[in-house]
This record gives sequence, structure tokens and C-alpha cells, in this order.
Amino acid sequence: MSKFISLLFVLTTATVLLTSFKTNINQNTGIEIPQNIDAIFAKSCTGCHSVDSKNYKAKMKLKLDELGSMKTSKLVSKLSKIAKEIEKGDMPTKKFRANYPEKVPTDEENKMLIDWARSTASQLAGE
Amino acid sequence: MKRKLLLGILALIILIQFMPKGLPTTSSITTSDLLMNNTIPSNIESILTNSCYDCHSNNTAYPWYAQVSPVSFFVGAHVKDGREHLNFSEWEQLSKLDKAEALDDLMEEIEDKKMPVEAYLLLHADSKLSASDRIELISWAEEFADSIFE
Repeated sequence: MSKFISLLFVLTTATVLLTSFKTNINQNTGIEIPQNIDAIFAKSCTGCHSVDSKNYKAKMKLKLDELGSMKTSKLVSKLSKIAKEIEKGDMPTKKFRANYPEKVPTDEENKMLIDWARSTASQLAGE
Repeated sequence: MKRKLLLGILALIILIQFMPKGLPTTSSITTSDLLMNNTIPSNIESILTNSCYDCHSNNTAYPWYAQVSPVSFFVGAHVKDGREHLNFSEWEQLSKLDKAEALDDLMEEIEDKKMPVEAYLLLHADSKLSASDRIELISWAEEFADSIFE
């Protein structure tokens, strides 16, 4: 019986831990990053915009691996800025486009990113 | 020849004094000003007014030399640009989303020591932010941003 209880305990703990480490859900807002968006981030953005990046400037502006843990205000701001930068054509940078043409998002992917980022930011801001 | 050139420059400087100075107008603190929000701690209020408000509000304290052209053109353009990016006098007119972005920008700029700009500090030594000013400002901005979404 006690074995059963401890097994249950271990399982529950593991589930809780796994859920909280699932980075594509923001723990403060419950906002989920859809798989297709996550895939574009991985292909085109996280090379510079992640905790492990050596690009200080990019990292300072945005670390995509923190989307899951950001407070609401930070998340709203970053999502809104993501939409703006992509819309202006400022991201990815010229250098990145030249060096990794195969990693540049397609027009359709850009639209997906902009729509998702903008609508999520508005939803969170209640505007 | 040299004398003629100098006289020419002098005449030009005198002439441009009659041109519009291009200094954005200043006004008293309005109800939409950030400082009217009574949750702003006094240390933050003094940092903001000392180091930020000359360019990022409608309450610009122009020094005397700002009235002299061509310095006035330069100062005027700076103030105009600063207000366009962020104007604390119009804080309450911003949407929640814009407030979140503005505070996020503020934290980035302060952490990266991009503000106040060097040209301003050159003649406003008292406006330079100390390391502790920066820490206070950033932690306030973070808390304040969160409070907007509570």
C-alpha cells in the first residue's frame, strides 16, 4: 500500500514538474505558443534570441526561451515588438538574411508570426 | 580675406537669431502626466525629473544657451525627438500595451546606459544616473509595469 502511495507521489511530482517545464506555455498567463510558431522561432530566431546566444544585443532585447516565464507586462511588450520588427522588415537582420537565406521566414510564416504575436498581445492587454 | 570671412560668419550668426528657434513649447504638469499617478515613489520622481523630463515630457527647462541659434536648432530637434519616443506628460493617454512597451524600452535603455544621451550630459552633469539610480529605476519600472496588468 505504501509502495502504491509513494509511486503515486512520484508520478504526481513528475507530472507537475513536466508541466511547469513545458516552455511553450507561459506560466503567468497560460498563453500557449503554438507549435507552428515555435517552429519558425527555432528556424529563424533563436540562433540569436536565446539565453545561450553570443549576440549580446539580440539577447538583451529578447530571449525567446523566456517567453514561458515572463510576467504579463513583459510578454505583452515583447509580443508587440516582435510583430512590429517583422512587419517593418527589420528582422531577421540583413546580415542574417545574407548568411542564412534558407532560414529566412517565408512571407506566409511572417504573416503567421505577426498575426499571432499581435493578437496575443492585444488579448493580454484587453485591448 | 580672413577678416571678410569672419565678418560673414558673424553676420550669419546674427541673422539666424531672427529665425524661428524651433524649440518645442513647455507647459505645466497636466493631469495625464505620469507624476500625477500617486503611486510613483519620491526617489523615482526625482530621478525622472532630474534626468529624463527635459526631453521626455512637456516640462523642458531650457538653459539660456538653448535660446541662441544655432544651438537652439540642435536642442529643439533633440527635445522633439525625445518627446516623440516617450512623453511622460501624456502617460495616461497611452494604451496598456503602449505603457508596457514604453516601460520595457526604458529598462533596456537604462540597463544599456543609452540614456540620458551623452550630448545632454555634457552640459547637465547633475543629470547623470548613478549605478544605484539605474537599479532603482529598473526595479521600479518592472514593478510598475506589472501593476498595470494586475
